[in-house]
Amino acid sequence: MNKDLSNRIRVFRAEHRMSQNDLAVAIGVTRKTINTIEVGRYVPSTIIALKIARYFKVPVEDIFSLTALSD
Amino acid sequence: MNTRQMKVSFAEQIDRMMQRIALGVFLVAITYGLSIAEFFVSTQTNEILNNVMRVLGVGILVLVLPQFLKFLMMKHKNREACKEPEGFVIEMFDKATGKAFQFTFLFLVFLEFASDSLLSHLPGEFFIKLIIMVTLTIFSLTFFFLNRAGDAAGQEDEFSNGDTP
Repeated sequence: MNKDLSNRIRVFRAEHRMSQNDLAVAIGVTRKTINTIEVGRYVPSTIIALKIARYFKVPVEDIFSLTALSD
Repeated sequence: MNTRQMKVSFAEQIDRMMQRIALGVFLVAITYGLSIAEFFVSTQTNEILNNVMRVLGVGILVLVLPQFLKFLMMKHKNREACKEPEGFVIEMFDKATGKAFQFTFLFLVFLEFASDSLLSHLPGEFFIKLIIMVTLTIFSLTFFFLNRAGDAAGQEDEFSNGDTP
């Protein structure tokens, strides 16, 4: 579990009424990848982070943030 | 099949291929283990071990080759969608490779001492097979462990209404 990076993918998915698989399909990864990013087990590459942000049409900082800075 | 479906199925395809490769590597490690055992058993038992290794060899081909061919065909059909795949399983594969390298180095240092004092009567072939077996075993077991930990992490999503925006 990565304690430095937090993400709001689950929140954005809820707002868009999307499953993990829907998001995975949209950005070209597997559901497992989305799942492990959400729970903080896998720190995504910059490319995956940007793809997620682009999909939700928000800046990447709205989805990913450093825990120390957001506290 | 549209591009979106193609991308997803390619990502899944790579994950499956990685898992099959890791399983294949584990079976290869067992094969090496059996060939190491041949140094310590009788000629009659050697024959049995040889037959088991042949069966394992066929098993490895059956396990890995179809998935690998599917992957190649998919990559050939849609080169653009298949560029630079990445994801959890691929990263765990890379991590397992790194761990296997680290452990192999430590094992080599250990063998340097052990081969002089304890195992000096055994031929060089034995040590080469032993090192390969240890490397492949560490790689495959590390991969299974990391990948399994990813499965355990999963909380299923409940937001889907069937309509992707």
